[in-house]
Amino acid sequence: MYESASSVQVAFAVYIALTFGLAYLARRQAAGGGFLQEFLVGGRTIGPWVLGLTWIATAASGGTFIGAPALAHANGWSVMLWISGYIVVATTGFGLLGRRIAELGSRTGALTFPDLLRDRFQSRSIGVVSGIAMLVLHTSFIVAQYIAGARVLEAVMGVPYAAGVLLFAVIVGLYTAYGGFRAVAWTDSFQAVVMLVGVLLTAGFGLWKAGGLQAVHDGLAAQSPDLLTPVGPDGFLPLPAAISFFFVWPLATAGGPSLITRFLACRDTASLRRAALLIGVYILLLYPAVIFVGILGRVLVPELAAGDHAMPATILAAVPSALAGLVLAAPMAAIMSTISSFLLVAAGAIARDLYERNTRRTVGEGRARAVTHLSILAVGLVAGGFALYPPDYLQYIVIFSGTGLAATFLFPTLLAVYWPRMNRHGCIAGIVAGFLSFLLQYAFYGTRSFLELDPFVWSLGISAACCVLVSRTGSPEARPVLERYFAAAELRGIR
Amino acid sequence: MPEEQGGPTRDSRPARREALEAGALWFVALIATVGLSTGLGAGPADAVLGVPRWALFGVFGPWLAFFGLHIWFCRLRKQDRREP
Repeated sequence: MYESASSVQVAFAVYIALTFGLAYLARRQAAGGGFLQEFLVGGRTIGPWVLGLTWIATAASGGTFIGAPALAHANGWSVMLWISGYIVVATTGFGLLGRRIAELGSRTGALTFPDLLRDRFQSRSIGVVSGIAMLVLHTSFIVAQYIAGARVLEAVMGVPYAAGVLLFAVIVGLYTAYGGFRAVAWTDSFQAVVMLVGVLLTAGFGLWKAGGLQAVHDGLAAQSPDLLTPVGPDGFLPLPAAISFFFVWPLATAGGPSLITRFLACRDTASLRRAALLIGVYILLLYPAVIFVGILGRVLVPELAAGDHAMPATILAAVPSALAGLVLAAPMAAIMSTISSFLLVAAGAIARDLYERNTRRTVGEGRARAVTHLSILAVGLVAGGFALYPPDYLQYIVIFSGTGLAATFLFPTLLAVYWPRMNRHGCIAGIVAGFLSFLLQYAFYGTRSFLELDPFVWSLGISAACCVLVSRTGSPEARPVLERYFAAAELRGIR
Repeated sequence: MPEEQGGPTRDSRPARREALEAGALWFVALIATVGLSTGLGAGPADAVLGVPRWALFGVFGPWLAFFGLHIWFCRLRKQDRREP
């Protein structure tokens, strides 16, 4: 544990109370229209500010606030190149799929990401396969967030690691189950503001404490000149890895089902455009500052009890104790906002995609509510169990699950919504090939596959090739189905 | 999307154009950022205002440039209405 004042604990308690207060207010604003429609997509009434902030709060996770600064602490300025794909994350995140998904969600009534694929191909098995893949990968992502949260509590308050995992699971599980998407979106928005303010304050105070940029540079050079190079110490970021991560961040973000789900909830395309503008500004301010905090930490706190303590230890070393509690809420906000969003998607996969749409009985509101809440509990328990055995750097779990989701779903989704000839067999082939090729590469080659590129890059290509080749060998879906998704001019030549 | 006249459209072509433009911006950013950073990083490890030269011109420079392009993309290329 690093030195902290009691004001930190008080600020933490206030922050948690505010989060629950917002969840309560959000639930009172429920728009009606059925439990699942309200619980999973907030009644499709989310405007630009909340849409933008919930999108970025979901994207910026414990990985961003705990894992990435830990890597920067260990590898210096090279992590700025490692994260540089975020230059275009707002553009790809909203540009590749945002508008089309929002339009199709409104047109078809889809509530979850698998709903979209299932209805496009009239295939129950696609809903089940994608629901299972999402459940597995989202749960592993939640594991990483529990680890991050418990690390913060451990470093700041001396809470034993296992108790920290339990505490996080209970707090976030409660407000997610209570308020659903609307509560998650509102609390995300609050948390996004806390995150940005916290990081900017830490970077500012840290720079002042270190004595300016030149002093930071000299401090790093004195420890190891490799901390100043684009490759970093011990060959951390060779050229193939730098290229890989420029695939990873923009494309994994664009293809993540939890972020795609945000587009289903938006009010209109004007909201999307404004949210994209807002997110561009937010990312420009947030991500370089987060990495810079890790770099500063290497100078201010060279020795850490655990690699993932870099962010909280730097905050405690740099920020005046009266403000430290507020600033420490930033990583907590990042972690909680991501857990809540992923819990919601995972619970949606069970309640909607694996249960409601596969049962022959009509599911009443009471049963839907019970199944959804039980799903949140089950996912929280399973993820909490795995989180009790943390790796050295949680960022590796974050990258695994984030890229696994996009490797599995990005091309099947892109082609499903833009290419009328895509059929159900091509979609399943793309999902299965993306998922399995990703797992197998990780199992046999680790994080550096053929030509030293990340497994994600190859799995994207394999998934795309399978979608196209298998669809080409069969017939497109029936014309009446396609007419729900495409204009007549796009269906010329398809009978 | 109730405010759009005629309701949400089936026509995927405007959204596809946006997607292709976003993909092109991503590819150019990849070449510019990784190319500049590794190229400048191969030289002497000097700093400008305390920031390694390769990071200043290879990461922060492209970041600002592509932020400008993102604004252009959102303001002028993304459209709110689809069909009358």
